[in-house]
Order: sequence, then C-alpha cells, then structure tokens
Amino acid sequence: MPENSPTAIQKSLPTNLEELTKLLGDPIDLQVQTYGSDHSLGVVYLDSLTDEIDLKTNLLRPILPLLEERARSLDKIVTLLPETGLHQCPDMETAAADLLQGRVVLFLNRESTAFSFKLPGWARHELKEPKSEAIVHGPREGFTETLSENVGIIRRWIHDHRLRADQLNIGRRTKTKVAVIYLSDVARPRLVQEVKKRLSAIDIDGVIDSGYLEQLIKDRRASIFPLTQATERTDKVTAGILEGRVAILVDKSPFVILVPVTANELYQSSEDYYIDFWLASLNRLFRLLGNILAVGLPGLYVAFASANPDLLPTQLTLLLAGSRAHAPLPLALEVFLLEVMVGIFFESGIRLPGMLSQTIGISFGVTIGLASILSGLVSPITMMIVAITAVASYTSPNFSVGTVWRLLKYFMLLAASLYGFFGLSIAGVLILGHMADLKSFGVSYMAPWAPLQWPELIDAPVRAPFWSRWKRPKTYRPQDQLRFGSAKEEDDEND
Amino acid sequence: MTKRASAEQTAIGPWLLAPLIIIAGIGQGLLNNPHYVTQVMGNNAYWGFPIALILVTPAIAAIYLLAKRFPGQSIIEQGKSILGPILGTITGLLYLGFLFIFPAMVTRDIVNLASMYFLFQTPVYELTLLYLLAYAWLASTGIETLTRTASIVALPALLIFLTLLILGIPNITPNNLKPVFTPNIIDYLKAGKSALNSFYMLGLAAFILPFLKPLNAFPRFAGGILLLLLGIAGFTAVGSLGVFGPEYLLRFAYPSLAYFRVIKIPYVLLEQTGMVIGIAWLVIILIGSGFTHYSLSLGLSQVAPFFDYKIWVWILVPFKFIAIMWPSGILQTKIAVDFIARIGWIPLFGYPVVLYIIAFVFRKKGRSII
Repeated sequence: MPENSPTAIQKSLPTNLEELTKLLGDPIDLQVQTYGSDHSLGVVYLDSLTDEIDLKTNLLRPILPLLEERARSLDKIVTLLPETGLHQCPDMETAAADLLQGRVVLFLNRESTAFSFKLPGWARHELKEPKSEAIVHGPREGFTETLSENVGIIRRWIHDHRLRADQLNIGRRTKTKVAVIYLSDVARPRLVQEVKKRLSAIDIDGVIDSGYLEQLIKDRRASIFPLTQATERTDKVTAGILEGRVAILVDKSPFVILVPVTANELYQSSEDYYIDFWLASLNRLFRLLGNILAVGLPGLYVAFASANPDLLPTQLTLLLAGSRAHAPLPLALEVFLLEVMVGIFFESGIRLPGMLSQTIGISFGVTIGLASILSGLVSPITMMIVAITAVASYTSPNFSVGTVWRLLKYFMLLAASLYGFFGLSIAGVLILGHMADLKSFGVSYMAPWAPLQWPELIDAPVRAPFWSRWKRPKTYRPQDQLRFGSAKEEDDEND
Repeated sequence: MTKRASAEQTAIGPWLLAPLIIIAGIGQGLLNNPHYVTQVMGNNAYWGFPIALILVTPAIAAIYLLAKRFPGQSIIEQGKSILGPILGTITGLLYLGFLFIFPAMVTRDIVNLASMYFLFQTPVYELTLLYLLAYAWLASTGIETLTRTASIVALPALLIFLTLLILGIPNITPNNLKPVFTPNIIDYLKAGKSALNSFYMLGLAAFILPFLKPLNAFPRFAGGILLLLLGIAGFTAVGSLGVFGPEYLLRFAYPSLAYFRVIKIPYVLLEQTGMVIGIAWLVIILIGSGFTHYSLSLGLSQVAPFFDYKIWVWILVPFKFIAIMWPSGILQTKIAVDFIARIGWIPLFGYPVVLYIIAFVFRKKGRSII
C-alpha cells in the first residue's frame, strides 16, 4: 500500500482504536477510553492538549445514557456535542491530525466514521519565561514542572503524527515518569534505541530532576564538559527535535535534555535564528570572543605581564609595570585571589533573596573593588581583567558551559603562572584534545570542526542565512536530511 | 589466531587524515628546511622543493598500493607479511628506531626554542618532561582523537601561517633570489633530497591507512597535502632566502622563524611576530609529536603484541626523555636533527618502495586482519 494512501475507518471499534494508537506510536499522553456497558463508544484524546475534567463532566456525562439505547448511532450522539468545530473524520490520518490539534475523537462500534470536536478550552499552563536562557527577540515560553503539560507544549509546536512520545519510569521508589520525544522519520533509530537503552539501564532509588539523568547517561561521566544539552526553552527543544535529536522530559523538572549535543550547539542561542543573519553572525562572533576571554584572559594576562612582558609593545609594558609598582602580591596570586572573590560573589548572588542580591552585590562589589585598589593591594589593571573575565563568562547561552569555562580558567591560570606562554599553549592543546576525545551519543563533540564538515562550518562561528540551510545538520545523521522539502534537491539535480 | 592488541576499532575519513598530516608536516619539517636546501643550492634553494615533490611521489604511491594489497595492515605488518616474520620484524624495528629518534630530536629542538624565547630560566629537562607528557597523553587517546584535535587546530594554524607568510613579502629583497644556474643535475637532486623532510609526515600514512575509509580517497588527498606542504615549505624558503640571502640565512638557528620575526606590526601582532608564530609552532608540533609517538607505539604493539599501544605510549616515555635530553645543547641538537633529517627518507620513503617492489615481484598479497 502506498505510504500516503489514507487508512479507512473500520466498523470494528477495537480495530480502529488499535490502528489510531499505532499511527501515533502509542505516545505517553494518548488516552484511549471506551464507554457503555458493551464498550461501544471509543473516546480518544491527548491529555497533554485536552482538559480532561471538562471533557468528562460536561460532555461525556450527557452522552453516556444514549449508549444504552437500542437505536444508538453516532449521528445521534453528535447532536449532543458542541456544534462549533465539529468535524467528521473520513479516515485515520484525519482523526490523528485532529487529535494533534487538541481535539477529542469519538468512534462508535459498527460505524465506519468518526467525529472529532474541540472543547471550549484546552489544558493550559502558566507561561514561564526561561530564567537561565533569556533572549530579546523570540518566544518567551519555558517548560513547566509537569510532564504532561511539557509534552503538550511540544505537541503545540509540532503537529505531526510522527512525533513520538515514549514513556519510561525511572527510580525504584519514585517511579518518575520520563518521556523520550523524537520524530520517528527524522531521528536516527539507533540513536533512539541508545537513548532508551541508557535510560532503562539506570538503577537508582529516585530521580528528583533531569540533572540526575544528565549525569547518568553522558558518554564520559568524569568529563567536566556537558555532553547533553539541558534547556528550559521550548523553541530550542522543538528545533532540536526537528533536527533529528531526541528530547528527554522528566516529570517535575522544567529542564529538558537534548541529545546528542556538540560544543558548537552549546554556543548557539535560539535568538540567532530569529534575527537577520548578519546581526546574528556578529552576535555569535562576540559570543565566541567572550568565551575565549572567559577561559583564557586571566592566563594570558599573567603570561604577558609576568612571564613574557617582552611580547608587549613597550608603552604597554611600562604601563603594566607602573600599575603594579607597589603591589605586594605576586601577579598570579593576585589574579587568583580576585577570581576566587568573584566566584564567591557569584555563588552568594544566586543564594541571596532576589531583592537583596543586586543591592548587596553592587554595594559590596564596588566597596571591595575600590578599597582593594586604593589600598594598593591589587592593581587597577588586574581588577579590570578580572571584571572583563567575569562579564565574558556569561556570554555563553548555556549555563553549564559557562560554568565549565569558569573552572578551566583556573587551569589556564595555573599553567600560565608556572610556564607562561609555553604552559598556556600546552594547557590549550590538552583542553582541545580532551574535547576532541569526547562524544555525545556517538557524535563527535567538536563537530563540525572535527571532523571537518564544510557545509556546516558556515553555521558555526557565524550564522548562515536560511536559504543556505536547506538540509538538516549532517552531524546528527538524520534519516530525512531535507529541511526545505524535496523541491530544492530536485532543482539542484536538474541544474 | 594472532592477537591484535593494537587493533583500534575505528575509521577515519580523509578530512580527518589530511589536517593531521598537514599539521604534523608543517610542525616537524618546516623549522629548519630553508637551512638544509640553502646549504646545498645557495640562491637556488627553492628548486629543492618541486624536485622533492617529484622524488616523494613514487614513495607515496608505494604506500597506497601496499595498503591496497594488504588491507587493514600497517607498514610493520606489511613488512612481516612480505619479508617473513624474522626479517620483517628486524626491518620493522629499524623503521621504528627512526620513528623513535627523529621526533625525539625534533622535540628537543622545539624545547630549545621554547627555552630560548619563552622561559630561559626554567631548566630544559622540566620543559621537556612537560612537553613529552602532554604529547604522550595525546598519543594515548588514539588516532581518532589525534586527527580530530589536528582538525580543530589546522584551519587557524594555516590561517596564521599563510597570513604571516604574506605579511613578510615586503621585506624580501629580490636580489637575494636571483637564480644562479648550475648545469650539474646532481646538485638539483641533492637539493631535492634535502627538502624531502618537508614531506616526511606523509610517510606516516603507512600507519594510518588501515583506518582510512574510503581508502581510494587517499591519492586525491595525498596530492592535495603534498601541494599544500610544497607551497608552505617553498614559500618559507623563498621568503627567508629573499629576506636574508643565502650566506646570512645559514647563521640562524631557526631560519623559518627568522623570516616571520622580521614582520613588525605593533599592537596588532604584538611586539614580535616571531613569538606569535612560535606559539602556533609549539601547538602544532605538540600534536605532530603526539602523532609520531602514537605511530611508534602502534608499531611496537604490532611487533610485540603483548602490550596494547596505549601501554607502549607510557612505557616509551622514560626512554624518550633520555633520548631528548641526550644532546647537550642547541648546537648538538642541530647536528643531530640535521643528520636525522638527511637520512629520514630511507626508512620513511625507501622502505615502503622496497616492500612494494618485493611484493610486486613475488606476487604477495595479504588479507585484512582488522
């Protein structure tokens, strides 16, 4: 049978329900219920998109007595349903499409047609702006802490019956519900299989947050780099699923895990794709520079000023020497202590009550900063370098990566303090080597730089325009490679 | 059944292989190249490079044809298959001996450079140990990681090299490049031989071709790598000759570096461009040395399969440290590096050619053991 030919609705209710379940891949949020003493009415809906209480109390209750009548018919039942938005479904595909729109589908035994209707409202959740990934231009929607709502959010982005939402329960005691979401015709089957295998292998008493799973399913547990992508942004997860990646949702966690991930992916912001590619490219270059400064600036400063001042132009060397003329501490120690202070400020800033954190942060930051310079304990240039590093470390759109850079900064600082540029170069290669050694669910962490994938490089340091991104990233090896449909490929072949 | 302790279940594509060989080629072969060719040909030194390209082509062809004839086997295993286990092992060990000593001397050369430019108060043994441990760790991560690391570094490193090569052009005095024609063809051949070390790292493809998928991409990529290395090595030689002239050039310990040092763009490339290129060199030689150390360890694991290559990587460290520390100073290092660079073509290019001729004449073929 050709793939696109519609599947007819049968007269047997169990067959219809089974067929529809199969078509949707038996997702976690699919509710299939039968009513009547002889189970003659089938009600199908997605609980992530439907208000179940409204459905049961206001709509099903008046219908149920009709089921016991001898001359029952679907047409008769339909008269009791709200007229607005009532659809007849000629085939299974239409019924599935209606379900994905948040409609309720009704089947009656011995009837070869189905009806779908829209409830006046749908399951709504309180919109929450993602706190850890703020953007200026783009959707403000973040995930909630309820799994079914989160599945519904993704369903409202992707109305495709090939969107799979498979359920697993993890945690011997908590039995936490976990959903694995992907597009069955885009995501690589081996990837989906691997994700499920790793999740199923977790034997733990309880899962409190998706962060538990992140650490337990990563390819290299000892590595400090995030080998999965945790995000609260619904648009980011949707884009990831469309690229052929797999989303892992955990009940009671607003953070969704996306796998596989590359270092390049973690440096991209979803906003990059909502604004003009020239502006997005400029932003990305600033972000790249920010990341480099966040990890390398203190080390570079120590290497220049302490080990190899001869590298600098004379005027700059004199300026540096002048500013540190009365500094009592060795430069490396001065930078290290200031960095530790900044780290303490960050940590306390997170824990302080919202209203107090800014006031205390600014007043103490300014007071301590000024006092330490005026007392001659630290040089103004060192203070400036540490401040730039602190600001730069927040250019990363991913919080985990920003934290990793902050940690590696100390490693680079140590290398520069001991061996100047020689140590800095070796430390840099070791970090790169470690990153090159990493894989996330079989995908090179450093793709598309390593291995070099030329077509994808245009979407790495800068953002490529949409017309050049007509294929899904090869890095994730999607089954269906075309993002823009088959027309473009045919055009190219004709050319 | 033969135990394949060294077999790494991995495959690398040509776009991973190429950056590694380019990086290693620039790192290991370029630092002293202008010196060698100028010693032989004086003003005509740059002729050495195209001639070297012609000389090296049959060897690269032999490496490829051997890989096709003996799929999944490295040069050490091919040697055993073609020459028999005893002779094959002996020749393999001699080959590996070169792979031990050549990178050791290159390491000492770069450590001397680092000591001279960056850390003249730090003991050389301390820098050596740090450098050696860093590249041993890189080698222990395996070919896939090495190629990926090289892949990340390759583009920025090439960009730095090419930019600086171009920026140095205004300092060239055309008079220094005037050709002095010599009718003696032997001189040209000698110049070609002296420039062969620019391509030595391509010889190490004999170790990694078993991992290359698809193998038939190698000729195309090898051609590209050869041309790129020819361009960079030739350009560096022409540049340093053009800036300093043949007599003056021979006085420099690191003639290629001297070419870059003449570029002065304060505040953009800091006070001395030589330092920038020094750091870039340090990085690429580190990766290149990781590659040679990996090849050596892999080779040893095929000769003596009771240890995995990862263990050989660390077993070799103390021995390599002793070898690196063997020359007592810069001059002794230079003499050793010069000597080894001159004879390096025998194992790296001569051995595969000889093996192929024997395999061809005696119709020897192998079957994949990966």
